[in-house]
Amino acid sequence: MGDIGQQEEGQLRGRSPLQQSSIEDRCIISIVVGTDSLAIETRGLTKRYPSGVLALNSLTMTVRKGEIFGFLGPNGAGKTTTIRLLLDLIRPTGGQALVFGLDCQRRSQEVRERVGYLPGELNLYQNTHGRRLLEMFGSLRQGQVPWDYVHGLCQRLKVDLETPVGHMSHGNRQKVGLTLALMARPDLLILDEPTTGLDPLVQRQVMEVLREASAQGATVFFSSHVLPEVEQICDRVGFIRQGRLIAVEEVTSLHRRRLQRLTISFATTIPADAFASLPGVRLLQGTDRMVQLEVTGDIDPVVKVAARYPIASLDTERPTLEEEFLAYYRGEGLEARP
Amino acid sequence: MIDPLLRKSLTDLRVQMVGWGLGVGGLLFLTVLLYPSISSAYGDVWEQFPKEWMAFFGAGSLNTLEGYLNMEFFSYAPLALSVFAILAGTAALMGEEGQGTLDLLLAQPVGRARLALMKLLGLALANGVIVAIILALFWAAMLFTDAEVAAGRILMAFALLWPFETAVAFISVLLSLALSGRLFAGSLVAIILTASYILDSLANLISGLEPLRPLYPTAYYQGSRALVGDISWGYTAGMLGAMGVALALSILLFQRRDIGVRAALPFPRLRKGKREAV
Repeated sequence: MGDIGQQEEGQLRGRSPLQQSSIEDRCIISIVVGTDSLAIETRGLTKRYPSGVLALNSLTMTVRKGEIFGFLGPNGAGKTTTIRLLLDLIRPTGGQALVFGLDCQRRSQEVRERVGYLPGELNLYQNTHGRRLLEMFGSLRQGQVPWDYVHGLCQRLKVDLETPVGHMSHGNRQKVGLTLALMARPDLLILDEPTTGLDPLVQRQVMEVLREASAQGATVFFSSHVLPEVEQICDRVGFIRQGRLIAVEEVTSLHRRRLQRLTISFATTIPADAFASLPGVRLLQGTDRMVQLEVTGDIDPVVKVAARYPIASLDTERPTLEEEFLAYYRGEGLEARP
Repeated sequence: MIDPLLRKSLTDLRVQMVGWGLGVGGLLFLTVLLYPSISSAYGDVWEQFPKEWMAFFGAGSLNTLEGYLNMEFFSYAPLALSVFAILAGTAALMGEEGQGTLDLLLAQPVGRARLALMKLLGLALANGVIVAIILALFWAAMLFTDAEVAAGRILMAFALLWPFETAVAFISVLLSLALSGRLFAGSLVAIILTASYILDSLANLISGLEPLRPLYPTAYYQGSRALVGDISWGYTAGMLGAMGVALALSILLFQRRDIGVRAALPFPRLRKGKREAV
């Protein structure tokens, strides 16, 4: 079954990224790959709160064992709701979630034995030292914690173990949280926006640790609303918006359709149609000495055309996730607005 | 070996346990030390107070230490200690949820029933420790007086504080879960207890209120009767039953609820509206 599954999945990979990422195909992948190779599987997972808010709308998604899966969406899209459903912190109003083939609600304790979790809003016991926290959470794992590994991790991340959490900086608290998530060397790491508010140095450390965990066989599922961060590390990315999974992409296909905004000022006047013939380029604003362009995909042809004229300045800007997302699917038959 | 969740519960309550124990016990210590002088100077004067006034406070003879303690300590102690029981009870699970620490705890391989049980057990033990500290201070004060004391009655009055306060704590846990908030639940328990205290006291004066006594939660504390009368074991059994029901329902409600994402907020929570998990 596994071989057949991989073969069929390979055939699916031969299709265009958008075709591959359609919801129907994802359902097929879910069936042909088989649950043995899946770390996470959701089937029509739905969460409606008593107030009537539909936070998650029939989410069907799979995450393969060993991959780093980015769960991407703007604030309020349903990322945290999905994670909390996987951890049985909240209960679905429809559908089912499985982790390693185990029902997240009925066998939640077994699921959580195999999961390390870093919440988006990390709240630790304020008066407790890092060391005490590790001991306490370690004691709940009943001998699963390899303490040599934990000590090594603490040294590497320079985790402050002697200061009460309430006196720690956000970065140090986040390091403690990451250590707590990793301490039992879980099969699945679920991280909710793990780098939010961290300085670039700590962000890099976090990413390194996640890559290592993945290299050692762990599956990493992390949510983010920052596309470049996801691109750095993930194998695949799922886009969620207003509670609906819109698409799942291989990261390589994201690179091919990356959206950038360029503002180029020239020392001399340039022809009005200088960039008009370039594929994937849209003129947002233009004067005789300045253009603002939105470029989808390869930026090289734009730079080459611009280089024909004396450039006074060149600024690039990364659009918001929402803008990038809309750009990916503009004209592809997907709804841009609900 | 002690369960790590129970150890955590007790660690969280350690300052409050010692504070309430020493605070209320300290008052009792002074009250006992004052007994000989008050008894000799005012013993006869008390007897001349209006009977209605004495009845309201459930006082017996002030010429005995038991009667004196009944009026000067056990008349208010259950209510005073209920403040701790309410605060700790509403904080046990909903407080952790409000602070956001419950998320990480429940992401560990810990059953919800076990967590709730350990939290409630922690509350019960904390109440026991407080009562034990107060009792220890009482006996310490007794070393400085030569008053005679009916040790059995005194011990029973203290012992009955524990199930009463534990029942209040468990009911506070239950209401905080049922109402999804600490402020409303805590206020509700406090209002009910205060109203009950007044009605229960008035029932000593107004015969029409007497049959309604089983409805007054404070009537279930039988410590006063242990000191100056006979205990009604029916009330004590009722209190233990309420404790058990509150424990079972709390665990059930906690198992079924959605854990909310909340920012750290102090008690009382003043933000309007019910917040939800996102």
